[in-house]
Amino acid sequence: MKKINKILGLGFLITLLALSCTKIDIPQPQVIDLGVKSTSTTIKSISQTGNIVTAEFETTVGSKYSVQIIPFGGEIPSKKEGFTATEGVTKKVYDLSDLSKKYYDIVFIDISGNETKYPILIK
Amino acid sequence: MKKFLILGFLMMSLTSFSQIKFKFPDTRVLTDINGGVIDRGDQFDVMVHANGNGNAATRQLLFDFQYDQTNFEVISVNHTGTGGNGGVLPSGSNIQLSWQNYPGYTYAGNSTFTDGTQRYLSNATYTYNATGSNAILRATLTWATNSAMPFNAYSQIVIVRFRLKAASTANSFNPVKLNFVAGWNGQGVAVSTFMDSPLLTEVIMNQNTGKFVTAKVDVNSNLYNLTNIKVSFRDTISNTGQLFSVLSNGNVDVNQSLLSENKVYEVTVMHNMDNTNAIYNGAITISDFTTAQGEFTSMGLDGSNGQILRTGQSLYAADINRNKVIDGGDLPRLLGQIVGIDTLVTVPSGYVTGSGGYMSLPTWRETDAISVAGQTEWCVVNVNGYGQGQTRVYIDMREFSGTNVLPENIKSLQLFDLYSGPVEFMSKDASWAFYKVPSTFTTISTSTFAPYIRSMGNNDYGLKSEFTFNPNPSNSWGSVTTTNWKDITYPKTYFKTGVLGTNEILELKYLLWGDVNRSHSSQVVVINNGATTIQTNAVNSLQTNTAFITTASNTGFINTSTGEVNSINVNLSNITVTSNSVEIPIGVNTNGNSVGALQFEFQYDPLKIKFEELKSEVPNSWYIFVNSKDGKVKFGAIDQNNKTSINGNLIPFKLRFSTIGNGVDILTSVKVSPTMDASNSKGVQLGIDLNSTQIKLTGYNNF
Repeated sequence: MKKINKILGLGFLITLLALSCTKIDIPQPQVIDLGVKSTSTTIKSISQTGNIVTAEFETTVGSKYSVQIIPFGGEIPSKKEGFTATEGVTKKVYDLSDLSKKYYDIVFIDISGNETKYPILIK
Repeated sequence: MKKFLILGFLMMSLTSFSQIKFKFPDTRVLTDINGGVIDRGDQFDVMVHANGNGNAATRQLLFDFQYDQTNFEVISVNHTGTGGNGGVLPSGSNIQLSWQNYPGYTYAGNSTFTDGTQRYLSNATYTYNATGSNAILRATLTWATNSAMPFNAYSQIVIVRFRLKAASTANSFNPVKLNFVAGWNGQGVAVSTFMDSPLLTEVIMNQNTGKFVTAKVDVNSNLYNLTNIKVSFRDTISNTGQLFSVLSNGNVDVNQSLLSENKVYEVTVMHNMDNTNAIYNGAITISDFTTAQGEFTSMGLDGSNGQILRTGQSLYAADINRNKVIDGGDLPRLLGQIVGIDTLVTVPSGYVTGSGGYMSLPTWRETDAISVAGQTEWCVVNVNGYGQGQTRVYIDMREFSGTNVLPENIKSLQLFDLYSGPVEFMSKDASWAFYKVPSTFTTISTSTFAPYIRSMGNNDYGLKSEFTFNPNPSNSWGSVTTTNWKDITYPKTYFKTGVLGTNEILELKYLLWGDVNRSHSSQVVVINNGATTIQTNAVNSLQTNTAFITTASNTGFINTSTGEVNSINVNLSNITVTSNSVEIPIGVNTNGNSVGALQFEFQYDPLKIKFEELKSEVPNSWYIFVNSKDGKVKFGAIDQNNKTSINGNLIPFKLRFSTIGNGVDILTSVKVSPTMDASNSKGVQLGIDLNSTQIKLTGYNNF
């Protein structure tokens, strides 16, 4: 019995040694760059032609923003896009033809949590 | 977030000088599209009126309605066009209107902001129940013009045509609500609107249908939001009962064919037993405890009443152990309910959860004097007889004969469908007892009891009416006082049917055990020198209560026992998630108040985040509680010794969550439940002004 225990113990040590020599890919920690603090997070203009929506956002150069298309009564976006502003006004064009017919909110939010929204109806 | 809100308010204020105003033209819709009474299968119009108010900016409006989808179907939504065609939009406008229907949705957003755009931008949330009775109708009205709104008076702007379903079995319906109208200019930039009143309208079906009873509950919408409410009519001889639904406006949808002539029924307000925990969790909050505690500590040594509770109903609700006095036996049970270590009311053992049982609530008739239509004019109404808004009502002394009730004992009166509420006994002579009634009786010319009302000229009306009197605190809510509440055995309401067509008015009140401040119970209205006041310690938590606001605005007075209506600010911000741990600070500005207790409940998606801990920065002498279960975390703290209240700008709590999955990818939100409360160092409830009811958690990778 003692012999078996010794063999098992030896086996365990060998396994441990083998595992410790195996190369493990440790994921690099994600670099979090919050960007420039936004001084403007508003919708400058918005227009809808059919199911094409053109939005102009007032943005701060270097700030990060998220645009989310959220269906009526929901919380999960049907579409979303993040971007870092390179100009004071950022123009975006969204083809929403693939969305089901209902009301949506276009939510525009900056990394500090400031947000605004606008209703659109996909017909 | 705060800066954004300030910026938002600034933007709103810039455009606020000429907002378009919106309301329904009336609180009732009485006729179908042909001008007749509304019967099943008929179509009827609900109109929205707008006052252009010279507004030159707005080019798009989003209308958000809620209606009773069980009984109504939407036929069409139309705009009324431009000036000269009956509409309010500028002549020559190019007008577009689109709409969409959302069955099963109920508006859960803000109803107190007067700015409809603000309601949409900050708080337009909805709950969904596939089998629910509500639906949301959204309509977008867009117009192109170079002109400002041409009219400065109300006229119709949008007409929603409904059909009362032919298959409907209901006699009363949930009112149609206008949740908000939000506005934008031609570039899509938000502009303010003004939500006037009324914003709900009741659809009245043919009133000529023979009825035994028209019943109404003084329902508190805070309770209505937590549970279905029904009224039971139990035949006292056969001991069999019928349950009828209570609608959001308190009307009881009575199927008259299930009642019989000349029978005595015991009538009880009931709630769904499956919601028992949610009801008492929401209704009994920290200020119920602190007001009861304040009463206890200010009581006389001889057991005489203290300084805090001013109504018999509050004292009755606070007497948890039913020993006719507020004492040390009541307070621990109240606190146990609040902090979540005990439950004040439990479902009966053996009850199968989900089986749809109903539990009774202590129920009273609203008044101690009750009228039914009769053959003799035993009553005279002299409208404004005691001055504007103060009507003189005479009741023939012969009606009191043999009742053992003196006219001076009557404190409340129900008079047909004309009035129900408190009255003041003024005097009596050999012929008449005189009462002052705080009403102008505006519906006297449209009453459904018209055959029993005779105009005598000079604002005098003779009423063919018979009276019964019952000023017993176990039966009449209006008779309960701070002294006789101890005489209440168990509240009971009995109702005897007449013949079909009698249509007796039955007004009901109810009380939840432990709901000391009546944040979820019926309200107590009293009269003094012709002016009515609502007696409540919960003005702040009732500010979102539709029924309360309606009553309060009608009477023009809101009152608390102490005259204090103060609030604290609670500031919450959206958060960008950069790791697998999220900390939510709860910022409080006490606005000069000394805060002695705080309570909150947050709701979250347990599939996305997990509650880890509550970090508290209140003084060491405070008792802190936290409970987390099924996606809810209830937490708070109370100054145990009432000596170390907090004030100023501070962060008393931080909630820490961990993400399930990678935090930087998360998209979810934490919602603030209406179960929140605060009180000052004297135990009096403080209002809570939230800057947001939702905290969005957006993972970094979404940017």
